[in-house]
Amino acid sequence: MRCMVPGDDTVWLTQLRRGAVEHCVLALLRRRERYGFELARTLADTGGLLAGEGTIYPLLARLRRNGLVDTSWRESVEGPPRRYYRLTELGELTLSGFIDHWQRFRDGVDAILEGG
Amino acid sequence: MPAKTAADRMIATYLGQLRGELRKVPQPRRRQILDEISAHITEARATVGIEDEVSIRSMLDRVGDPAAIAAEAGAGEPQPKNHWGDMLVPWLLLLGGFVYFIGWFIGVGLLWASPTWRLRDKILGALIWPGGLGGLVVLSSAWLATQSCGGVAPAGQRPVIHCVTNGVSLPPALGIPAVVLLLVAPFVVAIHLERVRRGA
Repeated sequence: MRCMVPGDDTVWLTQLRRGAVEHCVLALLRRRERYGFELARTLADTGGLLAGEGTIYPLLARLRRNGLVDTSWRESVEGPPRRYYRLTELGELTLSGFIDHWQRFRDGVDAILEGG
Repeated sequence: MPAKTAADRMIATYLGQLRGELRKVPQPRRRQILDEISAHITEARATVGIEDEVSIRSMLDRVGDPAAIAAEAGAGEPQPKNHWGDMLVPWLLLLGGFVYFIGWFIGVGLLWASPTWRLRDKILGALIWPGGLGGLVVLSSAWLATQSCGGVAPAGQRPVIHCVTNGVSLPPALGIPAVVLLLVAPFVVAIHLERVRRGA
């Protein structure tokens, strides 16, 4: 199994990130709209949640295609207009479902890791 | 326009690598990702402030490995089915006409049935030329000028030779380029279809 190769942390890390980061994006959009650069910096600065800041853009495009976020263009004082992302109703539902599962999942993993 | 700096060149190289890695991503999506990352780099560059090579390199490292961005762009997408017939299409269109024309018809059928090519590619493939190279051979034997001569030589007289030209005859200045164009066009179309297939 590829994921069990000792010392090769890239495969499982990629898988773990992929599941979690999409929902972290939804969580960041819960309070207010944000644009790509802002989301990328926040996620990259928080515990290396992104493999690279640029990986946020295909991910955002996917969330948008799946109807979890919506976008609108806004003028910016510093430069060209920016594409802002906001949570849709479906996005909110998905996020609250994830939060429930995540808490149980995290507690389960922690219990095993600490007690094992 | 100000001259390109070393930083501009590094960024252009990075975006070029990214474009290469994204070649399998469908066009509108690829364009959007490239535009957004380009805007991201512009903003990141403004926050760095310093334009030395080390700062630009570390800024681009933060943006990420182009391969990782491309992997994310392909993630969660249904993998395009490997259409086995696709690889035959350019060959069948080009050469299928020699197999009693059936090969060419099969090629056109596969071309139109496949989601790999867009409508304009399908029209192009079907129209240039019906029968492919095989069609050209048939066409040329039927249409291009042929000359047949025959003569009689009555005893003691100079032979009388009659030549008859059948079909269309063009002066060489027009005829040669026309023939070259007719021959080259199906190759160009086949190469185009093959490139679209590989890029899909």
